[in-house]
Amino acid sequence: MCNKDDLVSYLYDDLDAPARGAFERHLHACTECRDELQAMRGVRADLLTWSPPEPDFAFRIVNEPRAAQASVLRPNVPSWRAWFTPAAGFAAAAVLVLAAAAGLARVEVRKDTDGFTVRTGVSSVSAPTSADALARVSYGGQGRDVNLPVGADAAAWASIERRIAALEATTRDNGLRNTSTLSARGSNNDEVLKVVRELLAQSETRQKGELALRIRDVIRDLDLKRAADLNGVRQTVGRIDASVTEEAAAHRELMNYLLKDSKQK
Amino acid sequence: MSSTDEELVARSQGGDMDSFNQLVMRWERPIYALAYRTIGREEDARDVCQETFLRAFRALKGFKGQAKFSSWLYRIALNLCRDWIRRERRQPIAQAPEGIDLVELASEATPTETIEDLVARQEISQAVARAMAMLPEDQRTAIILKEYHGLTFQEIADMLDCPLSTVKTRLYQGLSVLRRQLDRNGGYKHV
Repeated sequence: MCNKDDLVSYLYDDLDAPARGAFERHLHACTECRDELQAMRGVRADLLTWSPPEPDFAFRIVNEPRAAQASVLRPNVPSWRAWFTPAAGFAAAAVLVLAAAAGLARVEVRKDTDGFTVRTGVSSVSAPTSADALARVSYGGQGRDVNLPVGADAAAWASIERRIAALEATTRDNGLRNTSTLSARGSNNDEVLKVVRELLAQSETRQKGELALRIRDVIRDLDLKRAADLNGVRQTVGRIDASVTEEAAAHRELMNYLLKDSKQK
Repeated sequence: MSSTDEELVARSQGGDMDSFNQLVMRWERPIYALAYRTIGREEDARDVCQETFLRAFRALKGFKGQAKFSSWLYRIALNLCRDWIRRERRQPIAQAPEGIDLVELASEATPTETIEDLVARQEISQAVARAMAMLPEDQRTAIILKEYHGLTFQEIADMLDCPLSTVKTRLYQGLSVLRRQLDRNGGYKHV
């Protein structure tokens, strides 16, 4: 009965001199063990052809005093990636989007007799044409300005003056009341500013949420694209692999044929 | 003159980070090669390699030097590979090399090798990778540690917590399976 442990030990040169001598005597007598040893030496030679790809990592242990853990492995990444953390990316993107949104949305804060209004959206004011050109005039010496079309005739002026005088007469009392209301509102500016701040904060929060969702979508799309690309690359590599193998087989056949042919000649 | 592993370990245990990084530089390739041949995936092998050194660093205070530092690292890496295989619930993958680049191959040629020899060598390499991936884990590990890392039978037995005769049996069985697989796939060698 052949001892396979001895065969393995002999194969790896791990027998002491007496055991080695004894096994070599056995080999002379046993064809099966001799063939097996020969075949396993062939397998070992084949195993040597298998090399792992050359790794491109260069991580090192570094101290991170602020972190809770004493150390981390720091991969050797290109410099532009070193500072480009996800948090920095999100922050930069958020600033850009907020700035762009504010520019496009034309945030408008206005105070009038109805109180404060915060409005966003593209304004639909059209540019004035020459025919609509406005002239500014002072009326009644009371510091109120009105806008009138250039070229309005004297009759129109007179008509406007009359209407204004009538309005002043009928609304004097109301005007006084309105003035007192406005004063009350004016004294409450702090509250109004608070409301404005809240509205702005809400708008900002909403935009940040939308930004996060959009970034998530972009990342998902990129991942899908990357997976599809990788799949394509794998298929291409597989095809190349198959074609090269086929070509090599054809070459071998040709070589064999030529070899046989030359031997026959 | 470069320091021995034992000297570097002692200095690392005293808090010398540079000494530990010297150990990383010395052993990162063998550990990566072990992980790659065990699990067959380049990216995952890199992760296993990094995790091995991170764990080693964290456990360094507890390393008393009963075994060689390299054996200790190998053991950590093998445990991580086992975890990976169990977690992924799959056999190692025989990752196809990036095609066959004849120009690249030619640059690796020894003066006596022809391009046909190089292509044949590449084919054998792929066949070996496929055959190794089909081996049971214990046989594959024994072959990797013996063939590619030159460990003694006793070191392998200690690392795998099994008797020395079991290591030899696993090697014999593994080599026998490889022989059959390679004969089936690679009759071209004997043309």
